[in-house]
Amino acid sequence: MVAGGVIAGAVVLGVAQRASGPAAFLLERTGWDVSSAPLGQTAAAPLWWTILNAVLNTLLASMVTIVVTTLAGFLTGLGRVSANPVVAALCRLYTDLFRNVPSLLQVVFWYQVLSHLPVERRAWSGFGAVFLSNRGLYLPAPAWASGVQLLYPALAAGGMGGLAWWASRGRPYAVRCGAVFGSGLAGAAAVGAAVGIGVDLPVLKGFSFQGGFRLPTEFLALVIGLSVFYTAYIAEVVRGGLLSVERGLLEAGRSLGLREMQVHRLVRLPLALRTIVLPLGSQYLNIVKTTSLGAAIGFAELFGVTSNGINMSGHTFELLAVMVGLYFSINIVLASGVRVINARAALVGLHRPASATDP
Amino acid sequence: MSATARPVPAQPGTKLVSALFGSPLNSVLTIGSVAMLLLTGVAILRWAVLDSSLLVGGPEPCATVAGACWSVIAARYRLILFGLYPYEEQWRSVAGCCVVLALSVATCVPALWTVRRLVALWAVGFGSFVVLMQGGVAGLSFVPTDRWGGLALTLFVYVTTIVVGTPAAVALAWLRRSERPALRWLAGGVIDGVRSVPLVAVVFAAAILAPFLLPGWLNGDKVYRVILGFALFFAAYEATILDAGMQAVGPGQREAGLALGLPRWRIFWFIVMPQAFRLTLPASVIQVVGTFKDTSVLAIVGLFELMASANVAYQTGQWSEHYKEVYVFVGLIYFGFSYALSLYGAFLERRSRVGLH
Repeated sequence: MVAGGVIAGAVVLGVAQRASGPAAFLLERTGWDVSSAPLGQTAAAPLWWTILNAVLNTLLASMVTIVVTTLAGFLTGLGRVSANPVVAALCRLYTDLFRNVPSLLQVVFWYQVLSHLPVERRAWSGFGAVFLSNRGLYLPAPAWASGVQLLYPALAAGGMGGLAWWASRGRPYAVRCGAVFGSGLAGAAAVGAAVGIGVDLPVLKGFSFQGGFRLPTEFLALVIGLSVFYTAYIAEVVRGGLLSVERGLLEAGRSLGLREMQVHRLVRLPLALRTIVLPLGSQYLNIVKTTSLGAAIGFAELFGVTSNGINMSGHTFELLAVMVGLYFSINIVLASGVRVINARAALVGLHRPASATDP
Repeated sequence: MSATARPVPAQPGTKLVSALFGSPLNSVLTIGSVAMLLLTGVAILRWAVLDSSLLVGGPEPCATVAGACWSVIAARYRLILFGLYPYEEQWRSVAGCCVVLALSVATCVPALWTVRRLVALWAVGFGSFVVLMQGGVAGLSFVPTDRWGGLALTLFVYVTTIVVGTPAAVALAWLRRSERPALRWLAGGVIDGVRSVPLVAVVFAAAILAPFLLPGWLNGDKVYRVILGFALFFAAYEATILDAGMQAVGPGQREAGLALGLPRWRIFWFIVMPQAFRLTLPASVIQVVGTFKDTSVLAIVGLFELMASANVAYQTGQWSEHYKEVYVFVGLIYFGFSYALSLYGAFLERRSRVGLH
């Protein structure tokens, strides 16, 4: 399926190119710049490089939003079905409020809030290493002198991860994944420090910060706005899944002497996951598509960059085909991933997808 | 008979207390939630009312208040609600909005749910809306569609999208289950393609491609091209919902229709579609509510609807710091419509369950 998605995207791109002669338009210099590009960008870069950066921006914003909303959405969804009336009311207030306000309004609101933060000279600082200003969030970044220095932490991460995997055998899958991730990170950090990979702290020089890693305001506003909005939706999905577990099973758990938290963790949640995974997947797809709202605040994601390209270069059909092809490919890859996860969690034989892009 | 011990009736309130403070975690959560609610509530109350310009009179309240300055709404509400509509004719915009609201409320009344009554209602309502807004007849001056804006334009785009999109959705669902594979693949391709692309992209593509694809006389103003794209997007999602509903209607229904000698289109229209519609009512209502919120996205393609006029309202003049008040005002408008629609959807759901087992 993944290969199919990539091939589909490539075919659309190929057809688009053949329909208008050689793909030279993609190699043209753009002549315009974008606000933020993960791989570095100048006005002299070719169009395909700009589009690649835009796709990376889209994926980056989507992934961060997906992670945040999944965690927060599960917590809020659990809160909504809680027996504690105060917690249930609070979660209900949250979901009812933020589901009914448009996502664009929330994104633009957060962009204004973040743009009205103090300038860099008076930025808010945390622990002397993290700075928040109206230009974005500055974080410390690893700094290496040569590429060889990266080899040792990578080896350490792999080694520690493998060790953790072996040491945690017999434990639940989630615990093993957590152990591998944590120990890999710790090993890489320790060896990196030993080898001499330093930390590049953002330092105020003159009017702005030098060094470090900057998360631009547009990115932050988009992620915060979308996270707040989609947490409410995912909370509803989780709530639906939790309510679908039959009461008899919960009562059976309680009659076995399990405490309330154990009933939730061992009985309700695993069974609820069957009903949750597919709608959760379609919410993930919606998140990826809604990152296109970044165009309204100047974030260089796929839609904004392609529409700008259409306006500047005039290659309407080709660039439209490129945009549709890229969104389609991302969509198919993500939907396939969701279907794989669903196959592990679902009851066999209960679901037949209605269409190719329906997870 | 042996005497069985009667259960001791619980003291009133013990269940509530045990739910709130039964375990340490519960107590922490209760106290934490109450604290959060109180802090947020007090902060919002202070910003919106106590420290705001509502309690401060005088000509220049915004200079002195620490909280919200609602004068920006008083100064800009015409721009937000009516856009660039001519000042003297704004009563027509108000009348148009009232017509659309009355139309929506009337559509919600179950007594009017026959095809003839609904079509007549919408023809009259929609027609009077266009006459009021555009004018040119009955002594009303002509106002072109590029002067329409704000809430009136949002309502117009929303209502037209639903009106155009629902028949298109039914048509797409019909084609999706056609006997000819070519039609099935075409409909499937359109639905899947439109659904995998963001709404802005569909509307943008429609706005750009419409001049190429449509004959000259259909090339209306930008509003109609945008509505076309938006209706296509709505139709694709609604067609998927209807398709799922049609799949849920058992094959026995279709076979009974065939046994009675009904042609395929009658089976579709009189047997399958009403049941599919009722089965998928919750999902359809969610889609319709979502479409109202999605009209905000049209600001990106340059349509001067509620979201765009809100942006313009505070970005000009001396109001550039007062974005919060404008967004809260517009957010309340969206919230009001959206919440009312979802409450109505819940009512529909409860009502339709009465007819089923």
